[in-house]
Amino acid sequence: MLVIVAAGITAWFLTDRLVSETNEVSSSTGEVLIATQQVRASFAEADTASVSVHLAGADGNREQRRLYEQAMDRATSSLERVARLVGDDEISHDALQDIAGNATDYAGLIDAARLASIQELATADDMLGEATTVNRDAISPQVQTIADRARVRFDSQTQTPWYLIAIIALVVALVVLVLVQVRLNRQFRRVINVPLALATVALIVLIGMAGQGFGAQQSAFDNAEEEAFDAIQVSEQIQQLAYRHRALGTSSVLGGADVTDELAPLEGLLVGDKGLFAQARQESSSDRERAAATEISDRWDAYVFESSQAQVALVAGDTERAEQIAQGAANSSFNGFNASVEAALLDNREQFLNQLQTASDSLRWLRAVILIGSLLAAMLTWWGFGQRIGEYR
Amino acid sequence: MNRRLSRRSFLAGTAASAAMAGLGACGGGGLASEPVSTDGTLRVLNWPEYIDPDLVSQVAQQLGVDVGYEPLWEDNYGGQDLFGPQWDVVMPTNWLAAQYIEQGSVQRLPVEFIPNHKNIDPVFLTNDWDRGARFHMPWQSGITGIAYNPELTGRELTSVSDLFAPDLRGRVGMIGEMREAIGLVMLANGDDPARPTLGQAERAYQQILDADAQGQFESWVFDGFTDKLKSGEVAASMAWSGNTVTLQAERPDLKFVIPEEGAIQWFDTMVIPAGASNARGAAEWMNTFYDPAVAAVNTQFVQYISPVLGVQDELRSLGASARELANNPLLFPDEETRRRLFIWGGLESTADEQDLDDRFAGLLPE
Repeated sequence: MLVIVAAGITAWFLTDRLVSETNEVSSSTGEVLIATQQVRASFAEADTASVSVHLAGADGNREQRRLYEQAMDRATSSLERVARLVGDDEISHDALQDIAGNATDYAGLIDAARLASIQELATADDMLGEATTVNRDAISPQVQTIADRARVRFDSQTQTPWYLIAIIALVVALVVLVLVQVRLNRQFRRVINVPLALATVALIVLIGMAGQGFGAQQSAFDNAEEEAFDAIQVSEQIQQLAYRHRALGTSSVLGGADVTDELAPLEGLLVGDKGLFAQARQESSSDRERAAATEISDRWDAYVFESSQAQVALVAGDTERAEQIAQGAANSSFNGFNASVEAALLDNREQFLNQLQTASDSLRWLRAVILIGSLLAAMLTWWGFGQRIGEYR
Repeated sequence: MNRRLSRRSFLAGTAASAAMAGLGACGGGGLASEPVSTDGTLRVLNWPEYIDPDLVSQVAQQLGVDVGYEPLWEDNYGGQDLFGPQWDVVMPTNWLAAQYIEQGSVQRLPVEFIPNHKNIDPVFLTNDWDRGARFHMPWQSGITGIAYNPELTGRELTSVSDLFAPDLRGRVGMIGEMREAIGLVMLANGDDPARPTLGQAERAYQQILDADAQGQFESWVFDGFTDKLKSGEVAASMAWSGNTVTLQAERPDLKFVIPEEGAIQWFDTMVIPAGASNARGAAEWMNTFYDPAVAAVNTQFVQYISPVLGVQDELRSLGASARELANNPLLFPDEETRRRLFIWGGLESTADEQDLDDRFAGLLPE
């Protein structure tokens, strides 16, 4: 009986720990992973939009300005969410402090560049370049630090061995109980002791339920990883490359230089059989996701066509036409592409967090079941032994 | 209170109450819980005179479903009483669609059945309330700007502030849609109605209130601004582009201007109510109307801005009168104009927006 109690307590303790870690993955670590991606994407979008605002010069471009502000708002709210969720991880908090400081510098430089641009000051280009450097060299690495730490935590929390040990403890208790019954049967030549048999059944059911719960949890983690997180990472890579393409294209119009040769390799990474768009389609786990991936690719083609028209105009020396396209059709088609990627990302993020929630839910009842089941098995065993002792006397 | 009789027609209205009686026949669809529900009937609720009537039967035939099409959505306020899972497609205005999405009253679009989703004009994809249009597909869009009779104004109007000028006192029609009226005045104040703050909106509201108290407005108008412009009761009015296009066919001397500060762009948009019993049919309906050829036919009828990419080219291929529409800047604004169009972004607090809406409604005559 003591073995059953010990196994039950051990299994309960390990399950409790597992539940806590699973809850943390669902409510904290997974959210941090998503939020850090949003921070990166938002700053990249802000960067791209601010270059377009700059290109518009004194005329301004309120739509792009709005997109810039919205991107900064999203970055700020994602950072606040990360700050709430990283707990007492000092390295992440330090990184957040650095990001906050650099984000202020970044926004200041963008605003200064905009004002300088309106006043047609030559320093505007330098300020914008400086802002981009702050984003690339100061903000992005710190965001990556937080993401890396969250990823390590995520891996350790989702690949924890506690559930195996809990099941082993219960199996050991079951084996001991069976062996004890075999021995008692030989000694007393009685075929069955009802309480002990019930205790055995209780333990078998308990092991079955624990296995099912742990299995559901692991399966939800696997789904989160394979069906959602991998797709998120591909979409994020697509977005980063696209932002780079857009920023490069817009900057080339500002500088009056054709950059077709620099844009082509970026496009090569996205299209084709081995490109990221094809990868995104492969990562799709449903018709809905495949449809979204196809739309992203179609909208990219539309943008690249307009972007190439701007480069053609630049080659022809028609800077004014290039500016028109960059601010007009290329801008609009890029916004369409970007919004499509964002929509797919939102869906995948939601799917990812839902799967983590499923993992958490699948264990919610298990703690109580293990505790009550083990106590029940122990009491039945006590009762069964009591009967045997009575017969012996 | 009837805020808007229809987007384009001068007719509308009268059939509404009779049709209301028939609504029960269209309701009562099953509340399927499947992610993509389907059945043999498609129930569509739209604004009056907002579709080429021939298209309804053609599309029904093409999709192989019975389409119960009801043009009963006469305004965004009374329309809310009709909204529900008894419809598969409903077309509220953008701000209301945003509220429905926030409340979870509409379902995510089954885009696997809408390959033409890629034809949504990107301008409708960047709204913060539904980035990428995962829950809605715009139906038609219009511009709220200024229509005027140059003979009566005695000068060209170029700015929102012209509507508040002393020389036009008592001769101005003011639009009765809160977001459009306040949005335009916000533009005049240098604010961005796509990202409105309560303070900015309150300031604009106060300016409208003051002007109303001083007798600046001859009347509050919806579709009726066309009649008032025709009759000369008003010299200028906040106005909807689509109605003006129709009016200008009759009265080419009347002008429509997008003020130098910019104008408000709105759109009515297709959503699938949560629990609708034929989400798949709704998706196929949306897909059909996002075929540029079909959308072009409808644009010829409704004469508003189509949110479907490729419609302008289709119109050019359709012949003389359609080609004329393809060149109309009110249907196809150029890039420079598009940058001066602003879609109302919604106040941060829905309660604040509702409160402002209620107070604005209080200005309108019963």
